[in-house]
Amino acid sequence: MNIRQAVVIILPWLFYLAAAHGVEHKLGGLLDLRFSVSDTLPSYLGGDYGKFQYADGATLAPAQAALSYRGELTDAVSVHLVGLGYFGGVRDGAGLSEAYLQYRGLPSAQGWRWQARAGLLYPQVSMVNIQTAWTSPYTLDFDTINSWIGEEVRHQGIDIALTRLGNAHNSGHDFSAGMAVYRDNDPVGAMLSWHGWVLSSRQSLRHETLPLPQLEPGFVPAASDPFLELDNRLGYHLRGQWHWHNHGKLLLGYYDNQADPKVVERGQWAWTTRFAHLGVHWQLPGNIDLVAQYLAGDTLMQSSRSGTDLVNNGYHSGFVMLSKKVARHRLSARLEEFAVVDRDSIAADNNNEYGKAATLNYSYRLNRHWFLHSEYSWMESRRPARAAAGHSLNLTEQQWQLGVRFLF
Amino acid sequence: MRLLAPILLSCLALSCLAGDVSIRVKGPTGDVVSGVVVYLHGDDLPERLAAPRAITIHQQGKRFAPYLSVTQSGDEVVFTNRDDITHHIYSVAGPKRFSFKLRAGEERKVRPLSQAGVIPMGCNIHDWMSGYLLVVDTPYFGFTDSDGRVEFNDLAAGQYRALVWHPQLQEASDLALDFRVPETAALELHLSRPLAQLPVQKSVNDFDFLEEY
Repeated sequence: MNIRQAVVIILPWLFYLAAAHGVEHKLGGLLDLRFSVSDTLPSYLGGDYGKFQYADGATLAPAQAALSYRGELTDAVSVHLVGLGYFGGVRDGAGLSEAYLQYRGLPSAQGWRWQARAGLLYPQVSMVNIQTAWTSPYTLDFDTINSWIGEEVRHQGIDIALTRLGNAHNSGHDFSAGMAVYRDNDPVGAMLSWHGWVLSSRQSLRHETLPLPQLEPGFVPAASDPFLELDNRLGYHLRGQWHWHNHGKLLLGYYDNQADPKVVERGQWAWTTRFAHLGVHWQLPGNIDLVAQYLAGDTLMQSSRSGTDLVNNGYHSGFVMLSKKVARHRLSARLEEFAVVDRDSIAADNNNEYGKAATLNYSYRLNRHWFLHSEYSWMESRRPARAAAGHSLNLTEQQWQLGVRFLF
Repeated sequence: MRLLAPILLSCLALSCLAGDVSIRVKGPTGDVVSGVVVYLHGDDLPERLAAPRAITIHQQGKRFAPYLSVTQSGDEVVFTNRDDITHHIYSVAGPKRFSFKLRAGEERKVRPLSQAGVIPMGCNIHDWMSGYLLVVDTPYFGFTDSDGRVEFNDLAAGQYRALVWHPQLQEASDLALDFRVPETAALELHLSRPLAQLPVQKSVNDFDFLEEY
């Protein structure tokens, strides 16, 4: 079922429920006005090698607008729609980013609770994209891991989770295990392979195709269409989470889209993409939040005729962020390291990359709805493919952003 | 008149026999224990000392406040959401089961609690929220004060049993002590193990616009 079919089925049902039972509608959202000064190459968003979402130089733009709708059909069942618009000057656009139906049952007397989601979903990987419309309250730009998740790693599927709540056992520990089965994400891995890791807050919209750097090998398409189903195989995501109230959270997961790497249609390959991920959020003494994530995996696409590996990459990225809030002020500092390791023998398509990044964000909460952010990002990377395109092999990019955010 | 005199006399006699009892709860090391519920069972207790009332449990700062409430069967409980977000209050164990969403600023009354027992409460949106309501079938109940003490006044003469309850009590069996009025004016109850740590009703993430990602 694609989004259009889902909408055709769900919408009339929604209107019926709204009319018959009084569905409660809730609207949330975000407006993000940004002034940024960047020292970078033309952005990856336009198919170039710049690792930020804005162009080199100064940009003043209503960078992001989000609307998040939640319709509560019953106390347990709700429908969620998230629409995003980007007007930062590179690949501007507006559209749908998430659409799903959610069930969250009441726990049993023993503290067991079932939850389910079905629709266009993010897999639960991020420890920081916890705010309205999958944004982060800590920084304007996500870390490299979640910039990638926001760009490519979304799917249509069903996600089921079982939680054991500590409250029922006089305990502050909640444990949950979840599994998602999904489709419509076969090309995931293409962007990470061909433009590498980026620092961004740009989430791909459901309808978008994503321009790629124009590389020498003939198998690189002009743009990737990330949410396609090409091989009719289901992927899965397994995860487990431990939440110790008032202390911390630990999330572990494994993702495998189980794509057939030989399937190609109109230049779009199915990529076998698998990764393991680990996330932690811990409260350190001094009221300091430690948030860290690590993700490592591989991705493969092959010639449909000969079975030769066209792209076979390993990749990993990790970040550690410390964040501290004092009254209305919050300071967050993040360090990360990332790499792509090219394992295939196609020399003309060198996807190797290694880099480091540092981000410092200061935010000030004016009132419940308005936030001011000032963020500096530094990124140093080595990417041979960039050198082949006439840019520096080793590149340092920097960006300073001033963001005014309104959340409701 | 001939009939009334003995009745009046016996009432007077009884009230003469009525007494005040001060009960103190101490921990295993002799330190006083405050904030635990002490209630009395006994023969021929009055059904109520006052008309049925409504007690209030607030949802404030994404917490149940108070964490522990006690009330008599027949009373009502009112949940008042003082936060600017929705809560989904539930109780799925114990004698009174309920589940409802409470929008910002709203309140909701739960019909009289007919049966005694422990009502554990949670919020299905904020899993760290935890609260308890103890419903007792006696008019004599109270919390120990900062000195570990609770006072019961004007108890009629007779046999009583004092019981102690708290969600974090770690006793192997019910903690109770029998006593007689007017013979007893003060008594102490000793916990064999200290109270477990109270849950901190606080999330790891403290932001206003969180979504369930």
